Amino acid sequence: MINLTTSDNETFTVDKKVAEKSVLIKNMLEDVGESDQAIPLPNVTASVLKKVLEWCEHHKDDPAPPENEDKDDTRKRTTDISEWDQKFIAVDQEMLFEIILAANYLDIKALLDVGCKTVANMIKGKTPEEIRKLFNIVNDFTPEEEAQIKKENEWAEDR
Amino acid sequence: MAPSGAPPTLPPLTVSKRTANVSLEYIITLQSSIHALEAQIAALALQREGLGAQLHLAQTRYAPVGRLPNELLATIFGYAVGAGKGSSETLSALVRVCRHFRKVALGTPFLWTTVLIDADCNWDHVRLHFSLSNGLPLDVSIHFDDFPRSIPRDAIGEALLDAMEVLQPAIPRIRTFRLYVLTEALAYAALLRCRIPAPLLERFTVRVSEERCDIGDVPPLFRPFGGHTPRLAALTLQSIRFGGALPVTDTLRTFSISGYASNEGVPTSVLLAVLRACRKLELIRLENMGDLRDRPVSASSILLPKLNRLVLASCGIHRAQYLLRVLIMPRLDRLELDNLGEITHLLRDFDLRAEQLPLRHVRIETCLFNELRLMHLFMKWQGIETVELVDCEDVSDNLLRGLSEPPGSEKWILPHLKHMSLEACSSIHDADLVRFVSSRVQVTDTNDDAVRPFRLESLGVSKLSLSRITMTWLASKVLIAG
Repeated sequence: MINLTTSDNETFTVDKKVAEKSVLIKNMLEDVGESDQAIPLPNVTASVLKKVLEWCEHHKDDPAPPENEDKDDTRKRTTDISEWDQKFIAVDQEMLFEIILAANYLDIKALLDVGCKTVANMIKGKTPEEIRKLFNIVNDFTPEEEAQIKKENEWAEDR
Repeated sequence: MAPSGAPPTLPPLTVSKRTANVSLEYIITLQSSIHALEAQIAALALQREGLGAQLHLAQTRYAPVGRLPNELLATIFGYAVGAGKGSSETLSALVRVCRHFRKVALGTPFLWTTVLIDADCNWDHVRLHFSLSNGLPLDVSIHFDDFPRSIPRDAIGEALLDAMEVLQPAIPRIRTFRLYVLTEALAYAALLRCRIPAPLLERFTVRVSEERCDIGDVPPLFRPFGGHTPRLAALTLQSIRFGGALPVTDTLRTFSISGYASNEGVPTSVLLAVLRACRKLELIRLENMGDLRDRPVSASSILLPKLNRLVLASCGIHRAQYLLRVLIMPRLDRLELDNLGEITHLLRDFDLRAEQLPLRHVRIETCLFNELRLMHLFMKWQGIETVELVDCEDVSDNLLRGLSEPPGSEKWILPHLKHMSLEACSSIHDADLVRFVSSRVQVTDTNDDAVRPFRLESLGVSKLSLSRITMTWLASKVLIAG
């Protein structure tokens, strides 16, 4: 078993196989060897780590994702998400982005993909204004810039 | 206390206007005060603008999405934009959300690698894609196949040639090239402008919507991209002739042709030459082709060691039979026969070498055949996991009885069967279907004993006249597909 300590000083004891879904933790264990000392995770809070570990537990027996995937090949990019993952990631926006950041920090590629695909699915088919509203983003274009950008993109709006 | 730089406080002019003795100095002082105030207002306005910008930035960063590093935002954009329908619109929306989104989108080259060109296209935007994709391979789709009849063909042709002109500098970077046009003449007009090599081209598709020859002769030895496509893996052609010189290379893995009502489109000799030249083929699909008029000369066998899927749909029973005699396919996993008429002779040919085909998936749609002959084949094709019989009027309850639990110590037929479709096979009746499923779901999940079959997992029964009770019972036993 492995102990993990979060940024808010909560310690989780988890199965090694579950913890090693994180490449960061796996590498740390390989580097320092197993010990009773907890591994500090200063960038993850307890509430987020709890969710991340729930995902790791469910996917602990999944095969490792293929390496050297062509990140630039848009043809291979689908936003399909398994039914379990869809239910898992149905959280508020604050938690969704925290999970993405934690998956990125802990280097859990499959979880990062689930998070990114979920946000991508939220974006698809929406207008700029709808995207702003969805993510609470302020429109910081000047009126002149906006007019220019709108003109540049008229071709897409007409479709 | 007045802030520094503030204008001096002057006593108000209290005397009546008529009697006032206003000095020039007083006027100058007033003017100076006003100028100082204006400068202060301008400075404050500038300060407000700066604070406003900072506030926008802080608000955007405070929003959860604003905390993502640029590389993650770019990954999300990549999934959102994708490569399919609506990708242009999504990309267009993203660059208009805010400055931060715009900066990330414009600075992420792979978002710009999918290029859709049609008659309504803004050429500057196409060029922008070429420029922002920063040298990455491009996936180009040209859609000139959907126009109102009122638009003259000449105008369509001119717009297409403009598109091809814009495309020229990007040809060496093209990884996927899809050309969808109305007529064969338009296809030639476009392809004749693809003369320079396409060293990165992997997928090449030409689809002509109107299947008729609107030009007399095919350009002689017509080879798009100068015949230099060393990475070509997938070739899909619909209703375009290549004058006996199909643009293939030995790297080809997928070969798909359709829409040739007459044999001159792809003569048998050309087809055989392609199959001989492309020994790495994994998928062959022949669809909607006129049947052979004369029996072709006997040809030596062609070994396709990697072919795992063969689709013969509406391409004529004689052509199908001929190809199946010539081809040797030791790894054929999936066979699909669609709308070929009477196929019993073809099944008989298979019977002679059935054991040489490691089939796992068979689909037969809208064909006529002797049911017993098919059962004979099924007895030999022991590895089959999926059988799809769609709109086959010859499929009867006898076939289901044959696939149900055998009497005594006889062997099961198709012991690995997991998925069965009987869509639109109207001769099937409830009782035998229930008996078939019942016998196939009683067995264990593992085939530890060679005598016992796998459990049936799914059943396709759409367009069958089954009672509600039967449907409810079937749904309780297996997954009902379709």
